Amino acid sequence: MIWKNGAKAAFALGFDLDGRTIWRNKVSHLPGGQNFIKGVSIGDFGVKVGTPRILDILDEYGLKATWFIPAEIVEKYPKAVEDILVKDHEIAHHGYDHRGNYGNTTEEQIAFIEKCQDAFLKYAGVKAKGFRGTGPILPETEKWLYSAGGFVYGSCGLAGEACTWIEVKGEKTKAVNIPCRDEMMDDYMQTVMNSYPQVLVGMPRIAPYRNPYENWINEVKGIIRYGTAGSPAFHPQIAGTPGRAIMFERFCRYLVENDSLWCSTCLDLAEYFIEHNGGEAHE
Amino acid sequence: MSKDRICWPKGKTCAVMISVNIEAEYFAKMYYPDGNIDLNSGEISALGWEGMTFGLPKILDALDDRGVKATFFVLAAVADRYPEVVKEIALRGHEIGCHGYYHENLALLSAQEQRSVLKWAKDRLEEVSGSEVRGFRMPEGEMTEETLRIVRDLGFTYSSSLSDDDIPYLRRESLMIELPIHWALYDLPYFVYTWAPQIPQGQSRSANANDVLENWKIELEGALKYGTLFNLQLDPQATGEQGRIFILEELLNLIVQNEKIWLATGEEIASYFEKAKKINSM
Repeated sequence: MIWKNGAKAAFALGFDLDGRTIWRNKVSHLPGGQNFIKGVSIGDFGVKVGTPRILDILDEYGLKATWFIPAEIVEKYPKAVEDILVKDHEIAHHGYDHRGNYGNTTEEQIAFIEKCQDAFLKYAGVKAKGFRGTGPILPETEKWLYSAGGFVYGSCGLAGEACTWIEVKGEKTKAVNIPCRDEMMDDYMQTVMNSYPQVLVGMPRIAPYRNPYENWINEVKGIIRYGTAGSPAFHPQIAGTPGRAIMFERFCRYLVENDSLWCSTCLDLAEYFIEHNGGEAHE
Repeated sequence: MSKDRICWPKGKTCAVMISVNIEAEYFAKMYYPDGNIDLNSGEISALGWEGMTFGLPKILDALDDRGVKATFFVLAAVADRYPEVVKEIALRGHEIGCHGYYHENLALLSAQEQRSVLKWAKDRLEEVSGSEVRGFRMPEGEMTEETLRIVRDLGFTYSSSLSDDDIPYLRRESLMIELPIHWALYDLPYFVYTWAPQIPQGQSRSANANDVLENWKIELEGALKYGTLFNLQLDPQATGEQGRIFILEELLNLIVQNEKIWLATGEEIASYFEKAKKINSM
């Protein structure tokens, strides 16, 4: 399809604002693990320093992004979320505390997602319309999510390369897939490191900064070549260090100077797709 | 936003701290934190010895040739083994900080055990080096806020162990000054390699030193742009190796030639921060 302003492809910068949740989850089962301060300090950087720095860069380049935020982070750091919303970025679903368990039945899973939505409404004043899950959900939950649940799009890892209607068990839903190929575009995976516990397991070397950067460029070129859309899984706790912010800024420059690309939030991309593909509006 | 968060002295744009972790064979505890490996034989012992024997002199020369004063976080057990070396580091004008005694995983010790071992380590390092020890860097592993309270009670004035910021800050809970670190500025995880036992466990190939230097240059560019603390961590067996020492030399050349950079030891940075804090709260 032809995207807004005649662009060949669409791109939505996506940030997973996980904060300390992912670090706490790695150690909470260890004796005394709740009191460990080193691992979680890596996550705290994302909320405290990474996010404001990235917001400044986005501002400078006039880019709007989607922030996938665990509901617990929304509850605990409403000011950080307000700073994101005040700049017209989008916030979207990313679990409650980033743990993978959404519940065992469809009813439990729907209740869990609604609980996250309640936190969004209470602390940020808006519900999420986009879904980047932190764990698997049942097909029936997914059907609900993308119809009565009110979610307009999903941007989950390994959901293919096509920007098109999300299907559940062969049945078309009312929501759109915004592809996220995280092995190409997850900066956490490329450059995170911690020794206790090992992250990543086996302690691979962190990448030369130009490697993930060149992957981002290659991925955007692929998105343009096939005329689709995409969103990366960047992490403020990784992308926001002084050196990584230099790389991120370079990427922003590449995006805004690329005439083949329309950049906006995942929600804007999804709504544009729906509008131009005869979709039904969510009630 | 970031640029206004701290004012560096003399109108400087950012700060650089060069720190060296003196661990000898105890580096292996970063990869086998729960013990049950033999540090005293085989490749681990050999690599530790290589660092102390071949790596450290090159690092000291690279620093001295450029008049750079660094902060050496030393394990007291290494000071026991190599007292003359630790004395020499201090004599050459570098700061001696504490990195624990036997590279303990502090979070797994009781408060009393932590207090004893850290006091013992501090006393031993002061005795061997003849200089006062004010800086603390947690051995890789974990710690708790209680660890920092103990560290403060023992008379340390700052910690350089955590990654939740990129400028010095005061921890509200323990009232310790923290000079944050970042793993991308630590040479060991890029370079260390042994076959048996496996370090790193996934047998990932040792990094290209040019790539590491490039990452560091980008971080330095970022520190200058955002006005932060560039806190380099070195292990002599990694960057002190003959085919890698050039990356430290090239990086130091960039740093000492740049008038916008305040190059200081941990102690100097903590002391500046302490004074600035008092002025701000007046």
